[in-house]
Amino acid sequence: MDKLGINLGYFLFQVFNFTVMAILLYAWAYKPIVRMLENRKEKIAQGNEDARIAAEARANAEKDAAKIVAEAQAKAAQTIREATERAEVAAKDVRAAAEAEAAKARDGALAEIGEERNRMLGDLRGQVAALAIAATQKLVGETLDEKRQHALINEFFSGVKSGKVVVLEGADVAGASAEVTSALPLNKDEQEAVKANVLSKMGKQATVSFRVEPAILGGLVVRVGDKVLDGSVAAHLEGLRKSLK
Amino acid sequence: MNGIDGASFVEGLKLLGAGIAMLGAIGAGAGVGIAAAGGVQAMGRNPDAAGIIQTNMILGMAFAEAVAIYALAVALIIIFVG
Amino acid sequence: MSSETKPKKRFHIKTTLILGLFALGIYAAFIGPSILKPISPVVVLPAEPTGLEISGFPITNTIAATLLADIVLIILAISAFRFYRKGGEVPKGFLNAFEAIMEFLWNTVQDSAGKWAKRILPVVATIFLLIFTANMVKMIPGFESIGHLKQVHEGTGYAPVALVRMGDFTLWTIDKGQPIEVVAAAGVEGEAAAAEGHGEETAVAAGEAPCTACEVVPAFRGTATDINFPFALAFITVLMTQVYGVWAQGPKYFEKFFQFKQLVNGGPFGAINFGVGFLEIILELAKILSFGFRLFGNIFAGALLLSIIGALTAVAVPAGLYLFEVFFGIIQAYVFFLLATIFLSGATVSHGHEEHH
Repeated sequence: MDKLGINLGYFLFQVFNFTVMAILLYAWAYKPIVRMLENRKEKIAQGNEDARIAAEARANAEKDAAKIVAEAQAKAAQTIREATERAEVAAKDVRAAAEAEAAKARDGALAEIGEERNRMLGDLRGQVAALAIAATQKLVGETLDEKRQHALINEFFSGVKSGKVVVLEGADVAGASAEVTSALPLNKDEQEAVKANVLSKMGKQATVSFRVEPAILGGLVVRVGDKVLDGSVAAHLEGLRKSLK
Repeated sequence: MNGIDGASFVEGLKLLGAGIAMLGAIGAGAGVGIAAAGGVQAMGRNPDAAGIIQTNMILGMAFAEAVAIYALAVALIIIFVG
Repeated sequence: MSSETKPKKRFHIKTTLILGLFALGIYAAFIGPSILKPISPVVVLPAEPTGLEISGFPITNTIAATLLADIVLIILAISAFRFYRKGGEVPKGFLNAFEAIMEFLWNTVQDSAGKWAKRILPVVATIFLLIFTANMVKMIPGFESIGHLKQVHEGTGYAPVALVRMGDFTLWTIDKGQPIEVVAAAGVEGEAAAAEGHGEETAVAAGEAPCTACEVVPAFRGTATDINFPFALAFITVLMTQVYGVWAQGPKYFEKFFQFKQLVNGGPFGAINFGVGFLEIILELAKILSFGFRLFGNIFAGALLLSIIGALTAVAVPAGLYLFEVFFGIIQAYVFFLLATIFLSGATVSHGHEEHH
């Protein structure tokens, strides 16, 4: 065995050397390093645990936050919807009120305008009568009785002869309302007369309204329901023109 | 055969015998290779178990290699001791 | 850090350096005087005495290498101890590498031994660290090449040539150009020292005439190339296996070897099992053999290959082989460590009720 190098002394030296080294390394290296490794492992485990808890907390917080946000959003959406509805209602109200106001204002203005026109036409009536008389005097060459002249003129314009409406003579009318159109506005007495006359024909419950339409030139046009009694000068002239042809 | 005495002849035969003894390493080499192939294949199929497979693979390789080591021991003894 | 700013320049410097060394090697091995040529080493199994003695116990070159590895380990251990005692957490440099290795060992032992890991670790970790350090220390230049000259009694020796003389001290080398055949065992043993390297050969001598036909006895030789070292470790492993077995299981542990119960109750197979028990004893002894020869064979073959290839090619190829040696040094240390861990942790687990059929 010598040639292989196996020698009890050297062998025992190696065993001894190993034992010494094992003891020294155990005391100086293994113990502190293993302790340190275990500490580190513990620390890492602790860190992981902490991280896990933190992650969980964060997840919970995120969930809560998401819930709160969702709630807030829902609330906000509802508020907005309500506000929109209310605003729409309010706007509608305002618009309706404004429209009503506008309509009222327009109606008022229209009535005013109509009245103004009637007043002006009423003022004009005297002048027109005077002009007509003057023209007639020139044409006829003689002066008619002043009072008689005015009565004729009034009769021409109002279509009312001695308290009776000319067109209604002999006519048979029935209805709930009547519309009386004249070329120039009628004065109070004439209106009363026409009204009394129409009502006597149609009955006490009927209503009478007055219109002014200069195009008919003179006389009255009475419309009751779908029946029109045309006693206007324009219609007479038209009839005259047709017969002359 | 001139110039070769008996002692040299025996010496030569001893070296030859040591060489033949090392033929035992053939099987061990094949065995270690098979163990490595199997181990690597297993690790490829199941990488999670690599640690256990590696330990067992090295254990198996060590046992396979032991045969070659016995052959080496015999060869060394033939050359240096016998 | 500044070198990182000019990697290209650094690369060129390294390339030039390496090519220069190659050229030097080629000159020394093939062109230059014979005195520079590498000499094929003498293959010796037993460790050779370096001439030093400690109270009558001769120090061989492998024991010197073992002590060197011990010193490295002790320095590491002491620095680790001082570092961790101060409450250090993040080590640097060598200590960091040491800690990384320890962590790896600790994890491996823990995986296979479980709660016995702390008791098993000192044995197996020392095995790993000793083998690993011894194999790494072996790579230091001068290992297996510097030593003293010895008179050759038989075979081929070489004539000594003095390189440097400084008073009493002479540096010798041996000349490959002057081989001397020594037939009979006749001659005076020179008490000089010399050395031989792969290209650069140096020797240390004290006297005037060292020897006539010389060979180099290296002052340091790889620890694992001495068969006593692996066998001592193998013996300790197997011995500790028994110790831990008894520690963990008590006297029941030996039932594995002497299965009297089987002999009494087992019927005809009981006798066979009883015989198998004896085979277990042989298996334990075979473990010593295979453990020891595995490490020895690998490292010795590596060293042999290195010196033979080094003598033949001298340039470039040995560098690759050195890399291979580093790799094998680590692998063998790991295999030894892993097998020891498995056997030790296996001994702590009861085999009492295992099925034998």
